[in-house]
Amino acid sequence: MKGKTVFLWSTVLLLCTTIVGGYLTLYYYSQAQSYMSSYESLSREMVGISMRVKMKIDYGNGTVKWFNSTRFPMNATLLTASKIDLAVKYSVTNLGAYVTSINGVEGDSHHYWAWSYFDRGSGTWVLGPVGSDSWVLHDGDSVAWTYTVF
Amino acid sequence: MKSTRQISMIAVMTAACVATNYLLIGFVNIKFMDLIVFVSGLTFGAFVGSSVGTLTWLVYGTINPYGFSLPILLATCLGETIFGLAGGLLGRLGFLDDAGLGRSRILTEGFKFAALGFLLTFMYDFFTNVVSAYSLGLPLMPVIVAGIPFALLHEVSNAGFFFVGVVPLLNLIRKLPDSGLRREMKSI
Repeated sequence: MKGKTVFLWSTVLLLCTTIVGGYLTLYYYSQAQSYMSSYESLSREMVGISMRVKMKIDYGNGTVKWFNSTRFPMNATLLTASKIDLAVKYSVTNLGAYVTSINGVEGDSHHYWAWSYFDRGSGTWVLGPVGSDSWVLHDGDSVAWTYTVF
Repeated sequence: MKSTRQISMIAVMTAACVATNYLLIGFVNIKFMDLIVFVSGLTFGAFVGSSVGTLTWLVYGTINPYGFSLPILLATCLGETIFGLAGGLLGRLGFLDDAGLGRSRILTEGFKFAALGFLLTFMYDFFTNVVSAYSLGLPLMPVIVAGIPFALLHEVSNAGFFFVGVVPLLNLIRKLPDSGLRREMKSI
């Protein structure tokens, strides 16, 4: 009889914890759905005021990293976009911004950071003709930073 | 004579519920009412318990700073009887004989009452949420989800009140002078 009572009250206790668990699951699931919906709505709005650019970082030692999912403000320059995705150090010269370090990899007397863009017409990478602070990006562009030997 | 005592008991317990409800008006869903209704049912029977619940809501639901809604008032009146009926049923099943007798069992009994309080409050909340959703013409699921924090607060606070409050209240009622209350309890 005592065992039966213990079993009964254990069941009641488990039922209570199940209800609390169910409540929390339902509540946090609905919260997650709500945040997901807000995120998707915001993403849709962002499409009109931002652009997506593919950025490649070639460290020159075989390590290549791509940043493909970051959204940048419309009409951002390459330097502005790079500062969003990467840890960039640069100096400003008469010819424009000169990037001296990316993600802690510094240029030296034998190496420098060169940038290039992918020319869709010719299907080749073309060395950047101006400083990265003067190159305005467009939606769908592909750009690259390459650690290059002098 | 019995009905006179019942009526006076209903009046006293209802007054206690209404007074504590207004006292705790600033604390949404935290009330001693459910505890008092349950103990009324447990000690004086399902009729007294459910009457206390219904009458309390008739007063508190009508004169309420949060507003008045007839369907919700009817739902809360009906829902509150759950506590009184459950108390009355447990009293009939002999729960009153076991409850709150010795100090050694106070913790065990407290846990049992806490679990009961939680489950009864869950039923009450679910019932009133369903009625609120239908009476306001809203879909059921969002109403239940929106009410979860309030329901949890209600259920957990009631579990706490039942844990702490039922056994001392029962012991207190048992200690009352033999002015009819004990006789009334024995006769139920």
